[in-house]
Amino acid sequence: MDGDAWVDAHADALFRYALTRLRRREDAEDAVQETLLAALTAKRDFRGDSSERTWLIGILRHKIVDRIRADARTPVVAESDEAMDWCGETGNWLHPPKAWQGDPGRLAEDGEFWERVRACFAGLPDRQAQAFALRVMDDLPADEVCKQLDITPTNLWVMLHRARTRLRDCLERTWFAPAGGASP
Amino acid sequence: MMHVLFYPCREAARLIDLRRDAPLRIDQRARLAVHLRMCDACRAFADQIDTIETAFRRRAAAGEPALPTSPGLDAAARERIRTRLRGGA
Repeated sequence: MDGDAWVDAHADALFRYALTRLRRREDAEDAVQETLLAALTAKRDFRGDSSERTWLIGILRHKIVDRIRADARTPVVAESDEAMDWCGETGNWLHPPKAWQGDPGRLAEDGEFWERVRACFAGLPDRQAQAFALRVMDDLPADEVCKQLDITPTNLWVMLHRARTRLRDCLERTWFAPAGGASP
Repeated sequence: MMHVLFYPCREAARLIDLRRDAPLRIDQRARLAVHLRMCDACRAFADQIDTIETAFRRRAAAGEPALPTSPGLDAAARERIRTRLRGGA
């Protein structure tokens, strides 16, 4: 298969995968280009024991991680701690969570729910989003995520806790509130 | 018993998340179990985190992308990549 055929067959899927994780279109486009260039060079290494798509996604993952690491070396303004606003000075809930109504098993198939998840995910700070994507979306073990992002476990736990707390809060406000079930 | 009563939800929520990524120490497990038995809000929180993560896992198992995403590459980017792959500038 040559470059043109790869672009036709895989570029959109690779782009979507990269966009979820890198979140900026230009970054995702660059990552797709780097992936296909690397694949072209390494074509002989493709042994056909996985699908071509799986092989390309494997390369893309490395390209994404390289970018995330390069970003991490650029000093960023400290991420605000507003994710922790849910607890007041006493450390207890300002708005105690109430059980969500509805069948959790059905959520996975609900397209509207995933649109809300996407909007909530887009509101996470970059580092939290990257940690959450690798740990939860890609289901990688925590120590593997630490290795990929080049961070300590403590660091990862803090980022994941903030990401989960924020996502939960956003979904409660935009999907489950006020009385649960579908959006107003 | 006092330290259990004053165990803040902030710490319980931290442990509820942490146990997904690392094994808790035995004292952490015990204190969290006590807290959860007494605190409706933290129990709801734990269920909700569970609901979210289970939904992601089911979606992955169904072969769907992790999140719905916009249309794919736009035409200009596609053409740029094609040109690069052909060895052009």
